[in-house]
This record gives sequence, structure tokens and C-alpha cells, in this order.
Amino acid sequence: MSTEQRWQDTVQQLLVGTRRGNVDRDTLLADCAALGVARFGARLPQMPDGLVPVPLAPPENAQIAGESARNVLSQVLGWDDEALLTEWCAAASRAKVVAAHAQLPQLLALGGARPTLRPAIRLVLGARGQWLALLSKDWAWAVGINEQEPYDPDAPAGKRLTALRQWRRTDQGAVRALVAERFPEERRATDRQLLINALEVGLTIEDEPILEAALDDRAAGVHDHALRLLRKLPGTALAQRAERRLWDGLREADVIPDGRFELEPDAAEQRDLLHDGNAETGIAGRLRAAAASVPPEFWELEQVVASPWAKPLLQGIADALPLAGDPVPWALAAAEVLTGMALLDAIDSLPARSAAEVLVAVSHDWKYDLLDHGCSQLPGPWSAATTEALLERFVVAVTPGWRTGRPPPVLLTRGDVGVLTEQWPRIAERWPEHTNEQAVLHLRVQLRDAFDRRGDQ
Amino acid sequence: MVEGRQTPAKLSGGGHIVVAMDVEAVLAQAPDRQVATGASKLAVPAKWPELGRDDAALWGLCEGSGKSPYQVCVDLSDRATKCSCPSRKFPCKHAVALQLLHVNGSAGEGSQPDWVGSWLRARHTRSTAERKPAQPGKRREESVRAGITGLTDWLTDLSAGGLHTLPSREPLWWQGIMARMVDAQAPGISSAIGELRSVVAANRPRWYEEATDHIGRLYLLTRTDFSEAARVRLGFTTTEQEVRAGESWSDDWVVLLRMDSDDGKVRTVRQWAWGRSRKQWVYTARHAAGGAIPVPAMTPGAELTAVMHPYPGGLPKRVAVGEVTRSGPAGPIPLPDTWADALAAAEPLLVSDPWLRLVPLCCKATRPARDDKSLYLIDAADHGLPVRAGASLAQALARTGGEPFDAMGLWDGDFLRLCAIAEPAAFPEVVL
Repeated sequence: MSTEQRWQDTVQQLLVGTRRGNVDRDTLLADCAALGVARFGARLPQMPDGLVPVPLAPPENAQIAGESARNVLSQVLGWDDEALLTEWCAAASRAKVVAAHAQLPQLLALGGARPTLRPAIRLVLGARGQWLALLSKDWAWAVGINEQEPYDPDAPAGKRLTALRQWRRTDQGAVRALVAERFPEERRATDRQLLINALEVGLTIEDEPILEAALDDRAAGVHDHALRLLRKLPGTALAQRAERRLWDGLREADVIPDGRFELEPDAAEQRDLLHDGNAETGIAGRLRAAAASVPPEFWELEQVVASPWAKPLLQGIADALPLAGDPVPWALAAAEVLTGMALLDAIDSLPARSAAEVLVAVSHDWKYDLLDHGCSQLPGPWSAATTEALLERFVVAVTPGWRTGRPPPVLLTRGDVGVLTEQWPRIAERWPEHTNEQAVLHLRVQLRDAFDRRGDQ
Repeated sequence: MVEGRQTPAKLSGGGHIVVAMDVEAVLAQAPDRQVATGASKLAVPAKWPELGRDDAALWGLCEGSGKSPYQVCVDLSDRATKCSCPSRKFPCKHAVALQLLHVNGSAGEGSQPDWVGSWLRARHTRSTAERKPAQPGKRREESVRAGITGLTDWLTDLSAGGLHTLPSREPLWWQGIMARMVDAQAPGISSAIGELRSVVAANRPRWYEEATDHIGRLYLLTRTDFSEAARVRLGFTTTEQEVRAGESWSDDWVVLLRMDSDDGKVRTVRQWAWGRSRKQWVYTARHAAGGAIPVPAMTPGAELTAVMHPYPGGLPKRVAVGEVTRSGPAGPIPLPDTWADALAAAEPLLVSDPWLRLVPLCCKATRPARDDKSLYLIDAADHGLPVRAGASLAQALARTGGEPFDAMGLWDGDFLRLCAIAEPAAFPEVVL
């Protein structure tokens, strides 16, 4: 009998106990001691079946981060600040540099724990990082394996939506086809709304037929979601219908509704209005709905502003800002009639660059909290011009009591490093309690220098 | 090797061994994530009205929430720290931040303030002070023998009832026997029973095999001849002062292996170093309580020319680090060609200490391979040992890219815990 067999027998006897197993206690305990040592000492290396060699990593073609960049990354990881890490990855990517091999496991683990960081981290993994990611299922997200949950029509709603939205990022057409097929079959309104919701990712004009069909849905939630998505698309039939209604219902000279808007909306117009709530009822609501459905350039700005119906029209125009070629003048006009939060929502719907321009344009007299909120919506790092302008806004805004003397963190973490460095004496004077923010800036300067310095990336 | 993580220690002009570190190594000292983050944010010269260093120490005054700034200093010889802040974490964020500033070159050379000098002198005095040696004598041994009799009865009852009864045992049942062993001045037995209790509580697959081995080792203690190895397992201790007054081993020591453990009350860091002339491994152990992280006795990845003082006990010998006269990056060490040779070389360790279940194990030019459960390191004879998955294995793979590497680690009977790697015949690097 082999040592291992004797050991297994002994374990079984001890598990049962000498009382029931009819074994001598001393012999059993002595066997435990002797066989335990023997088993540990007699272990031999093995060659298990099914063992396959780990393939060699492909050669790294990109330049690997140098000592200073690597040092900065260590500090950034110590700060545990996602914005700084994203900035490091972006700077490395611009410099065509990938993370040092020794730092890859930490980055992969971080990306595993925080999915929002994955796009940034993917930029700096290089060939070695991607090879490493293949060795652990926890890191498979880095190479796009298993990140996409398979769509299971019987899964809970949350999982279905996540799966569809992920799938949509990689294959818009397949999801569109699936939604087109399943939408008429789904009996529950929440399931149909979920399908429409999935189309929001990568929305294109090709989705219009499905969304148009969804406007006939009896459920307000499904209808309204489809309508909101249609309003984000340029050149739709919805936009043409809205244009016709506006041409027919407004006097061209002074943008005042004539008799058509005083009549009850017909079925076709009712179909193009939000059904939930009363935001789009009455003349003002219907004007707002039509304005939200056409590009702002449909209007003459001066006429809109001068119209007694300027408020609902501008509210609608604010919803249509993403369709504008230049949203700034429209946003400025809309700022006169919108609440701060509504304006923030409108800005949030714009691409980053336009959003920055609009925020700078409309925030002249904003209070600190609103400005801080608006700035938090802008991804960093900001351009030099945006940073200069927003610094001016913060300088004149009254800092709330709980932050008196301390600079706005969003400015220091997202602003342009060059501008902030140049303006530091002014910042330090305006906000004397600035050591934390100075530390952030110091690290960002190190980050910039690490990638600017030739030969030491 | 592709990259290095540790910065080797260097000998300063004043004769002190200065343990140099990079940012990652400094942050690794933080007891938790909050301390690391707080320290990173404090590592700004503007927050330190006074900052300085010399060959022996770093010091600084850090602005805190109180009226007076905190006095922070670090002994560069072993990275021991002191701070006047009220934090119960150790090292605190101020002490870690001070070391980050040093790494960044923000601490200029200066002359030691009095409070730094006083602390260093007090440390030195404490470490060299004669303590009254414990005198267990025959009375202690008699007491332990009585405890062993109690242990024998307990094991007899346990084996009669069987292992299957253990998961349903009340905490008081465990606490009773453990307290009895402490009363009998056999704290080692008490700890061993605590480990058995942890194995049962963890309820891992095949926990009963682990428990059987623990019970076998406890039974072995009841048959003790009070050999050196047995006395250590029973809990007889020797003070560091006694050890330092005893035997001295001068050698070049290559510090490559490390294992941290935490039993909920005490954290322990153990490091193993290879003695070039003695051709054997020795280890150091440092403990800390209250959530603190013990400061390692030796610089990881360094090669020290030093005197070590061995404790009584089996192989590998535990040692106290004596005078260190030189420190540099670790050079290559001789390694077995195959895992079979490496395991065979561990036999004397087990003979000298049959309670041992963690041995240093190394092998040349291993290649990573995997099945659907584990990753293995395959030797030149195409035989492999399973490796514990974790940060060190990931580091090894990230650095080597799947190329063969020399593996150095700790073998627990089931898995190898990888601690250091080297390209064949190159300088080893710690991958913890």
C-alpha cells in the first residue's frame, strides 16, 4: 500500500472516530503524525495530464514607459484618483508609450475592479499586457473576451439591458435586427421599453424605422422613449412633420401661433408629443415639442427671442442643441429661460468640445455650485482656453462657506496644466488653503514632464 | 531581467546601511489603502515646514489639524518610524509621506534636530539593553509536561469522537483547551490548536485532511523529547538579547523569500535569506500588533554581508540580524536543476523539525504551463509543481513574458508561493 493510500485510510478513520471505527487510538494518532510528515516529505513533482505550455508573449513593439513616467504612475496609483490615472493613460497613449511590464498586473487588477477605467487602461497595456490578460479570466476584459455578456431573453431585465447595450457597441446591426424582430412579440411594456433603450447606444438613422413604429405603442413609457431618441437624430420623418406643423402653425413674420395651434392636436400630432405628464400639452407644450424635433437652424434666432412664445420655443430648442451646427448662440438664448439644472442637462447632451464652449458662454453669472456641477460634467483635461475662462468664472463666484479658502478641486484636476501653473500665484492668492490642490497640480506637472522629456518616457 | 522593482540598499558615508526604496516599496509599507492614499496626498513639501535627512534618519514637521505640527522621523537603517500624531495605524500616513518625499528628492541634507537624535539613541539603547533572561528552568518544563498530559487526553477524546464532530464544537470547547495550554506555559500548543480551529472554521474542500495533519503534529508534541525544535513548537522562547550574546554566523546573505501572515491579532513578516558560505537558508521573523505592519528585518532583494545570530530550533534556523557591513543587490544563488532535487534537498529540514510545513524551494529554468485548474512551473525533467495564483505569479509572468525563469519560493506541500525570479544565471528579483 502506498503512502498516499495509507494516508487516505488514516484520514477516513480519524474522520469517523475510533469509537465507531474500532481502531486503536494511539495507533491512529501515531499514523496521523508519521504519515503527515511522510506525505509532506515524500511529495514528488508531477506531470499532470492536459498540461499545456503557456505561449510566449509577442514582442512589444511600442516604447515602454521610462523611469519618470513609471514613477508618476506609481504615485497616481497611490492617490487612487481615477481622473489622474485616466490622464496618465491618455498622455502615455499620445506619446505612444505603454506601461512598464511590472506595473501591468496592478493596472489589470484595477480595470477588473473598476469597469469605467477599462478604456483608458486598454490604451497602455501593449502586447505584453494583452498577452497577460489572456492568462486570467478576471482580466479577459482587456482583450474583449467574456466582457460581453451573452443576451439571454429569459434573464432579469437589468442583465438583458446590459448585455444588449454591450452587444450594441460591437455590432449595431445585429442588435437592431434583434430589436426589430422581438419588439412586436414582447407582450410586456417594460420589455419593449428595454429593447428601445438598448438602441440608445450608437444610435443612427438606420434605427429610425423601429423608433417610428414604437411611436404607435400604447404604453407611454415605450412611446416617449422612442420619441426622445428620434429627436436626437437629424433628418428624420419626425423632423419633417414638425417642420410642416411649424410652417403651417406660426406666422412667419413674428413667430406667433396662428389658428392651427389653437385647435386640438390631430392624431398624427398627438403621436409626436410626449404622452407622460403634461409638458407637451397646450399651445406652449406643442410648440416646445415641435421645436425639440427640428434643428435649431430652422429658426431665425432674433425672431424667436422677440416672440411672446420665446420661452417654450427656447425650451424646445435647448432639447435640440445636439442637432445644432453651432450650439453656442442657441444655448445663450436658452439660458435666459431655462433653470440651471435644465441648462446643465442640455449641456450634458452635447459632445465634450461643444459642451465646454457652451458652458463657458453661459456661465458668466453662475453661482459656485452650478458652475462646479457644470464643470464636473466636462471630461478632462480641458483646453487652455476653457481652463482660462472657467478659472475666471470661479475667481469671481462666491465660494460657499464650507469651501472658503479652498480652490475648486475640479479646476485643478481637469484644467490645463500649463494655464494652471502659470496662474498658480493668482490661484494661491484667491484660495489660500490650497495644499491638497497644489499637490494634485504638482503631480500633474510631473506627469506632463514625464512624457514631454525626450528619451525618458 | 526586464525590470527591477526594488532599489538596492546602499552603504552611506557614515557607515550606516541605508535601505533605499522606490515609490512602490514605500507605499507597500502602508498598513491599508487609506494610509497609502493619505500619504500620497501629504507628500508635498508645502505641508512640511521642516524637512531633512542625514545618513541615519529622515525627519520632518508635518502640519496637521492640531496647533503644533507633528514630529515625524524614520530610522533609515530599518525604516522604523515615529510620529507624534494620535493615529493608531502604524506606520501612519505622515511617516509614509515623509519617505515618499525622500524618494522624490524633497528632503535635503541637514543636521539632526534634538528630538530625532533622542529617539534614535533611545532605540539603540533599547535594542542593546540587557534584559533579565527568562528562567523557565525545571518548573516551566514540569508545567509544560502537565499541559502535554492534558493535550494527550484532549486528543484521545477528539480521536474517539472523530473529526466530523469538530465543526459543531462550541467556541468555549476550543477556548477551554487553548487557555489550559497557556496556563501550562505551552503557548505553542495553544497556537497550534488555534490553527486547527481555523482550518475547521475555514471549511475548505478536504479540510479534514488538513485537520488530520494538524492533529498528527499535535500528537507528535505529546511524544516530545524536548529537543530544540520541539521546545520552539511548545512555545519556549529565547530573547533576542540572549541570541545576540550567543553564536555568530558571518556570511553573505541573499534575501529573497518572504511571507506575511496575520492571525487577527498579530501580523508577522518572515524573510528567508540564503547564506553563501553556509549553503543554507535562515529566516527572520518580525511581529506587530494593533493593525501595524511589522518592518522587515532585512531589505528584500538585497545581499547583505552581515552577522546573523541563530536562535535555538530546527532547520532552517531562525536568526537575529547582527551587524551589517555591506549591502547590495542580490546576486545569483546556486539552484537545483529539477524540482525532484529541490524536494530531496528539503529532507534534512524535515528531519530536524518534523513539524515544518513550509520550506524554501528553488529550481533552475522553469517554464510556465497550465491545465484547467492551476498553473505549474515545469523543470528541465518535464516535471512540474503547482504555483499559487496571485500577485507574485502575475508579476513573474508580466516580467518574463512566458520565457523560462529561475523560480524561488516557499513550498507548503500543495503549492509553491513564488517569491523571487531570475532569468537563468542572472540576478534574482523579488516579485512580491
